[in-house]
This record gives sequence, C-alpha cells and structure tokens, in this order.
Amino acid sequence: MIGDNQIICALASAPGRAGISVIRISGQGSLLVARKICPFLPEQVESHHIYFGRIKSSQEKENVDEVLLSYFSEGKSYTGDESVEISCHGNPLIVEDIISALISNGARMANPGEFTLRAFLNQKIDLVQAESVLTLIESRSKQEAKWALRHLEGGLSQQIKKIEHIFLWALSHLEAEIDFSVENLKVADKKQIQEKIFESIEELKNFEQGFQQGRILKQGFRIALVGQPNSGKSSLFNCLLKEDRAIVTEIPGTTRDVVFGEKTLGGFRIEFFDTAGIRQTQDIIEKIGIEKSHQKIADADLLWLILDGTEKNWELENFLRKNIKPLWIVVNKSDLWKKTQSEDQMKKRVQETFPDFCNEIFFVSAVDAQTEKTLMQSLQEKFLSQTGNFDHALSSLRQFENVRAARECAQRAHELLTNQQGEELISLELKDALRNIHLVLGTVWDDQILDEIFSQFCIGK
Amino acid sequence: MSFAFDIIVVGGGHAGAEACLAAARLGVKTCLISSDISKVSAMSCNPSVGGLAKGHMVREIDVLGGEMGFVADETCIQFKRLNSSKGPAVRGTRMQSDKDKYSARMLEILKQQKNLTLFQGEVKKLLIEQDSCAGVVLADGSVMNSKAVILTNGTFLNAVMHFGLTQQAGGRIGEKASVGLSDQLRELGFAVHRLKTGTPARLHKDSIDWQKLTPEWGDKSFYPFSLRSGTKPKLPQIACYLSRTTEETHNIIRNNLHQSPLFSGIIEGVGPRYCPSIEDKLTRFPERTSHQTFLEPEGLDTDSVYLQGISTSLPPKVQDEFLRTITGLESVKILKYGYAVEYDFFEPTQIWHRLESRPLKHLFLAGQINGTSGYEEAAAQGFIAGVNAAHSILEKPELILGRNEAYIGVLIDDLVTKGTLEPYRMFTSRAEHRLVLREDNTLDRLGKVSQNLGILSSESLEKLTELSEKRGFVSDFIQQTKLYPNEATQTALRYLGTTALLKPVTLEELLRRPEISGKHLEAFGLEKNLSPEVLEPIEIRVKYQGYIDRQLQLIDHAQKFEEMLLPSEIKFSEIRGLSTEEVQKLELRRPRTLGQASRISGVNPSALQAIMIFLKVHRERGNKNERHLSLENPPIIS
Repeated sequence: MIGDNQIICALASAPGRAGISVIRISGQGSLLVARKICPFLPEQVESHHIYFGRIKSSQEKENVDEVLLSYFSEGKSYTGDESVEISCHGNPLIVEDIISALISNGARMANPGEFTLRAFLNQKIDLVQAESVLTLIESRSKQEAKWALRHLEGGLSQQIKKIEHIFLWALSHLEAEIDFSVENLKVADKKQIQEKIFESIEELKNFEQGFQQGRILKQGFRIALVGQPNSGKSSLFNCLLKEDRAIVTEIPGTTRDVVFGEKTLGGFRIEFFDTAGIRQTQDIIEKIGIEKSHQKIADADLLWLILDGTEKNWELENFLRKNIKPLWIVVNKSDLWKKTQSEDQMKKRVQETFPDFCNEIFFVSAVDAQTEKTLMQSLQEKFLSQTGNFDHALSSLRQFENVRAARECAQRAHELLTNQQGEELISLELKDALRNIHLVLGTVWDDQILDEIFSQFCIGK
Repeated sequence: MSFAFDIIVVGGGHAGAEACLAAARLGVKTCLISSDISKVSAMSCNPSVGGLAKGHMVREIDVLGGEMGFVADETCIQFKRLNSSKGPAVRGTRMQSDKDKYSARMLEILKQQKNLTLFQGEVKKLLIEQDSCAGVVLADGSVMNSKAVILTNGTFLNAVMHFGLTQQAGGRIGEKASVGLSDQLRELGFAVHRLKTGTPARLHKDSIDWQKLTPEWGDKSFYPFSLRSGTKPKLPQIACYLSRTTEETHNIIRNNLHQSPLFSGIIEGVGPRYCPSIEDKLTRFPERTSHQTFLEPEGLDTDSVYLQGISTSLPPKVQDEFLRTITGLESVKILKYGYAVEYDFFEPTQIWHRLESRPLKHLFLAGQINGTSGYEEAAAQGFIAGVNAAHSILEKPELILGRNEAYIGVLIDDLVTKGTLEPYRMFTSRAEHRLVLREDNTLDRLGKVSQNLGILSSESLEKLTELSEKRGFVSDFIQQTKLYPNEATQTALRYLGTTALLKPVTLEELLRRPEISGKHLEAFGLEKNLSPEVLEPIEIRVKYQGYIDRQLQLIDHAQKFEEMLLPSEIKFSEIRGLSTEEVQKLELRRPRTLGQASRISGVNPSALQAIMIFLKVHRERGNKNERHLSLENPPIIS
C-alpha cells in the first residue's frame, strides 16, 4: 500500500529492449534484499559506489545476467531511503526475472510515482519539485527538460519563497502594530509596507505570465488552422509537416475530424491542428468535426486564418469576431492568384475585408517549398524567442490558480493601504495571500507571524 | 462515603477565585483552600486588568457570570480603550485597578457566596484513588475528601525566586512555595516543566521626582467591563507617568550581566518573549539607547509605585544603582526589589478541553500551572474549570467554547492542542476569527451560552436579555425598513453629505456607506438616542460584514482539515514520512481531526500531507480496493 514502509522496486528505465535497463529498489533493507540475489557484493558496501558481478534469479539458481549495482545509503538517495539500482542488459525477460527475484525476497512492486512520493514524504523535495520530476520525465523537448530541471533544483521554490517572505514581513509589522501598539515599537510605516506589497504584486504577475510560457513548454505551442472550407488548410498542414497527413481533395468539407501534427522548432514543440472548415451543414459527421474544431480553437495559442486568394467572397466566421487570441492571416494559393494580382493589391483587399486582424499577413502557397520556412521563421521571431525566463514558469494549473489568487489578495491589501483602512483588514488579505503562496509550495502556515514579530521587535511592557 | 465538599479549589489567585465562584453558583458545595485567604486575587505583577485581547476575555467571563470584570470596574483608577484609532475588532479595554481594593472586593464577594467555604491551609498532596482524584491531604496530614479537585496554584509549585545569584524558595515575596504537589503528579506520569517570569521593583511614591515625568491620563469616557456596572467609575482617576532609561542605566546593567541568573545559566525555565526583563531587552536589541517605562501607582492609599517594563532579576545592589539613573528616580527609595521566579507547570496537552486532566480523572487544572501568563488568561481558565468540575458532578454536558465563539475558546484550544513552550499570552493575532470576536458583541456571541449555563443572577440575566432583544429589534428594523428615492429622502441624504439614491435601499444597505453612521439613521425613522451599547455592535457588524464573510471563507479552507476525521484506530507509527518525534506527539495527543493534528507544535506540514495521503489511500482501499493514488488537495504527486 502506498504510504507504507515496505521495500519497493520497479523498472526505472523505459520498458522494452534497450542497451541496458535500470531497476530501482528503495526502502530500509534494500541492500539486504539485493544481497540475496547479488552474491558478488563485498561485506562492506559503500554509498555511491558501483559493484560489478553476476546476478542470480531465485528459482533457477543460475546466473541471469552480468550487472552493475549502485548503492545509496539512507539520506543520500533520491528517495531519502536506502536504495539500490541495478543496471542489467535491456531484455524484458531479464528484467522480469530480476524483479520477480526481488519480490520473492521481500520487496514489492512500486506504484506509479511512488519513488518521488517517498522523496516528497522524506522532505527531500517539496511539492513544486515533485511536480517537476514528472515534467522532467515526460519532457518532449529540450527546453522543457531544461526548465523542469531548473524547478527540480528548487529554482521556482526559491522565487516563491521571496514573495512569501514579503508577506510575512508585512504581516509581522501589521500585527505588531495591532497587538503591541502600546509598546512604542518602531514598525515599518505604511508606505514602506505598500511599496513591498507592490513589489510582490509585480512579481506575482510575472509568475502568471510565466504560466503561459510554462504551459507552452510543457504542452507545446498550439496553432489551429482555421478558415472556410476548401481554403487549403489541409494542403498547408501537409506542407508544414512535410508529409501527407491530412486528406486533400477539391471537395469542400473534406476534413471531418481535427488532424493533429507536431514538430520541434528551436527546442520547442509546435502542435498544428488542421480543423474542419466551419460552415452550416446538415452532415452529422461534419457537424461533429466542426464542434471539435471549435474546441481546438479555444485551446490554441495562435490562430492561422487561412484565406483562399482565388475566392471572391471572404466571409468572417462569427466566432472570429469575438476572438482575442493572436491571429495571423495566411493568404493561400499564391501560385494561382499571383497570376492576376500583386501582393499589394491582395494586402489591400485583406485590410479592407478584415480591418481588425491585419497585424500579420502572409502570402503563401502550399505547393511552394519556401512556405514552411517562411512561416516557421516568423513563428520563431514573434513568439518563441521571448520564452526564456524559466524562473517564473509555473508548471501546473494548480500553481497558476493559487498565484493568481495571491496576487488578487495582495492587490486588495494594497488598495486598503491606499485608503488608510484598518490593519486588521489588510492583515486578512495578506493572510489569504500567504495561504495561497503556501499552497503553491505545499506547506501549511502556522504561528510564523508571531515568531517573526518576536524576532524583530523589542517587546516588553 | 460522605463528602464534606463536592469540589475543592486549591489556590486563591485569579483562576481560583473564578473557579470556586462558578462552581458554588452552579449549586455544588465548594471549598477554596489558600495559604493566605487575605491575599485572594492578588495582583502579583502589574496593577491592571484587561488590554488587547485580554479585555475581550474579561468581558467574556463577565457575560458568562464571572467576577473579574465587575471587580475591575469597581476598583478602576484609570480607564483606557487601547487601539481606539484602529478597527473595532482590535480595540481592547484596560483598567488600572487599586490593587488592595481589588483583592479586598473579591474577598468580600467570596465571603458572601452561598455554597462556598474559604479555608486557610496548605495542600501537600492529592488523595488518589485508582485513576482518579478524590480529595487533598493538608500539611498537617488531615484529609479532605471531594468529588473533584481544581488546582490553581499559579507560580507557586516548587517556586524559586532569584535575586541576582541568590535564590530563595517562594512564589511571592514573603510567601512560601508549594512543595510536593507537582512532584506527586510527576510520579503519576504527568509531564512537568519549568517556566520563568519576572517582576520589576516597587518604588516609594514620595521618593520620585514627579516634576521630571510626563503624566499620562486615561480616557475621559468610561465603558465598564461588566453588564452590572454603572457608567461612571467609582474611584477617583489617576495618571501614570512616562519615563525612560538612560545610557548610564544600560551601562550599569551591561557591566553586571554576569550577576544575572538569566545570563549565568542558573535559570532553566523559559521566560515570556513578550515580557522580557530589562537585561534581556538590552542584550537582544543592543542598538537601542533608551527604553520607555511607565510609573503606575498601585492604588489610591498606597505608597507603592509599579515600574512597568523594567522587570529584572539582577541583585538588589545593582538595582539600587541602575534604577537611580532612570529619569525622575535619582533618589528613589525601593520598597520591593524586582526578581525572577521559576515555577513548575504541567504540559497543557495533558488536559482535555474541559480542563480535566487526562491521566487523572476528577482533577482539573487552570491558570499559570497550565503554562499561561496573565490574570485574564488565568481567570478564564478558572471559570471554565469551575463550570466543568461542577457539571461533571451534576452530570451536565461539558462547557467548551469554540474558537469562533470566544477568545476563551482560542486560549483553551491552543493550550490543549498545541501546548506551549513559553508562558502563553493571548494576542488578537491568535484568533483566526478576529473580526467576529469583538468586545462590543460579547453578549451576542455568548448570551445564549450564558442563559443555558445559568450562573448569572436573575437580575443580570434580565438586563442581558433586554439588551439582546433591543439589539435584535434594531437589527431587524434597519434590515426591513426601506428607503425610496423620493424628494424627502434625497434631501435628507444630501444634508448628510452622501449621494442620492438610484433605487430603493434598506437602512442596513445605507449604513454600509462609509460616511453614514448609525446615528444618521435617526433621520429615517430609527429610534432616537439609542445607547451605544445597543447601536455600536450593530453598526460595526454592518460595516464589517464584507470582511467577516471573507474571513469565514478563509477559515472554511482551514475547516476542511477540521472535518477530516482521523480513524480512532489509526496507528501513526505506520504512516510513512513521520519523524519519530511526530509519531510520539501524535500518539500522545491522539488528535481527532487533521485540524487538531495541524495545531500540534512540532508536527510539520509535510507530516500533515503524509497523514492526508495515508487517509486517502486508506479510504480508497476501503472503498474500491484500488491501488491507484489520487489526491484532490494537495494534487497528485507522481
């Protein structure tokens, strides 16, 4: 059962055939269990040393494999408990043999994430770090891995603790002002407190923006291709991915389901969604597809409105009127319309038709090899080059919600200070802010404020 | 077996007085044993009652039927409402009292109390029968049986006074220590530790150069603690005087630190952080070149003056020297030297919320022996212990006040679940329900409880009922009376300097405007000249309501923990992630909810998460035999 004190083991590397596989064993007594199947171990085993020898499976008493065994003593391992890692050859049969041998000698299978859970319970890592481990393991791009590692090292926690400190400091001064007002203390004046709180608000805002970046790092940058049926979305999609993923025909409404494709750009993962052209239709399948398209559009970080340059009547779909997401206009089929019009003429037409969406206009052709390069380069310049501040990148929606709540409380506290309202009300807001910060860190607040007061002020009536 | 008494209260301090009065008033035969009955409710340290958060408790005791507030009102020689410029929740009443008159007045009340016997004597030990307390044994060996015993020995258990490096057994100058009791309890398995406290020198008023000092008068208006008191103080009001230490004072103290028992390591007990000695202050804040002190006359007819803020345990010779460097004290005559006192206290986590000890039945503990400091903290516990001891005999339900009902509830819950390592004093910041726990609404909070309790005299009860009915009536009136945006209303509003109405509003909604006061509502039909007693709490509630709601939300978050029950069969040693110390503490206290567990000192946040994970898995296994881990709060850890 999770939360017990048993010795747990599991394959720590990816399953399947590989050069080597690593089996991790953790819990008090791990070494004793490992000894039973690793007779080659010397009497004295040292932490952070590697031992080589032949491992035996229990049933057959035959040598199963040649392995490397690393030993980590209590307090010096990832989980904090005594741990052993066995590197064997990457054959699932060998791995299975070793694990079943371990289990028959007293270990049990670990549950998903249990090693990290133990590290958390043993206070080797905090909640933010624990979440980062998952991200690190699941990273699908270099940037994401780099960022997760930064969190694991406690980078984010450090940043958040700075804000925690500001709140605690402000609270200790406000509470001292309330509870020890008769003691003639030199507490910080309200202006000083206000300035500090302002600082924290700015910092929290950075975190909120960072969340967006964090999400992009984690989940990839999402681009939805939208536009009228038969504007060439699918052709462009295939061109971007350099493969024939979406079915392309000349029949409007060919794309029924949302088609997904991904590629990496400058270390980031980019996801493309080819959506069904949105139009009134009686076709049930197409209707479902359109519904799905709407969903993808809602999740996207960037919309590409694909226009057919040869089409006479461009219509702006209703949903785009309310759009607040960044949107690029991509005028497709330039190989055809450029025969009769110049880019300038086309640009003018776009500007007249869509006066609200003319920041970025591209003229491309899905059959042109240059198209992919042009769009990718612009993407890199406009979006991805700015995504560099890893200190402020929150990794989960949970953290984001708490940070936002903390910021809102801090703003109200700031406002109360401006209006010269009572300390007890400002304190209420700051305590709420502090609680939210502690939720990010996974710690619970206790008598910290009083302790802070006594450490700072000379109190004594 | 026949009992001479139902309840014996040992110790006649502030806790003891309230305990024996509450018990006797509930109709059980009670005996107060004190080594010197004439010193009942003595103010051993500062000559005042109340203060921030403490004034709240005095009012709470009063509404429930205690005496402290009434006696303080009767003997008040200076009245002050502290934090009067701050929000209503953090204002606190403090009264300086005539010390001797306070004690004498309380003695008079005790003497007149039916069912109460005052007995001068020394209790040597408890009479134990199996696992319960059955009376006391006196110094002469005689036995007094009772159904319950309340100990309120204050700072007297194994007390040692320190004057410099010289020690003397005793809890107060001229009074013996109480030896034997705490040793007996220790042998019975109670955890007993040492605390320390101190008091400053008392000075002769004629030897002070008052001309050099700044007088500080109390407030002009007088708001008594008690429902029973009149609106005017009975005694003449006096001033206190402000003075300061000088650099010379500090030099003398610094040069003699080696003679302080605190700094030479003789004192092992932990002192209060909020009431440090002057030696402590100089050491911890070396950058300060002067500290303020108030000279407070201890009464109208006494020569004794209390020197607030300068408690010390330096030798008398050094006190002679440094006191004379304080402005106005150049040729001061010292009546009593300051000293530190060390005493035994029982780890308060060994008592239940009803203040009965866990190891020993029918034994109740209250006051400083539970690790608190302050007269008000002691009186509050004394009252609750008195009620619960009586109720245990009368087979009535126990009285436990919630943290959202009273500061007394916060006090006892803190003590019982968190324990304390230093003398515990109440602060408003300890109360998470601070905006609701106000002095002005004490009656609204505790009126019902008091009625059910039935300690208040019928006369007081009538007054209480009348007042709360009146408040109820006015509350309803302003909630139900609607104002319509007609000519007359708009004119009246303009006259009051506020904006016109756009739609109909109730008087309560109008009162929410910052510029509108309760008094202003008289223009719209509210009864004229309502007493502040009636109107003030209503006005404050209306103005605070938005924040009170927010506070409740905040508490609700914490309340989740309060609702997470720990199964009674839970074995903390089996939960991963708990340190040995945490397991010990949890096994000892056996908290019933995660909330209680969270308040136990030394139980870390990570331990709470570990318990939460354990509970979650525990429950899930019970439900569906699933081995999957999922958590809502905190979220999944993979």
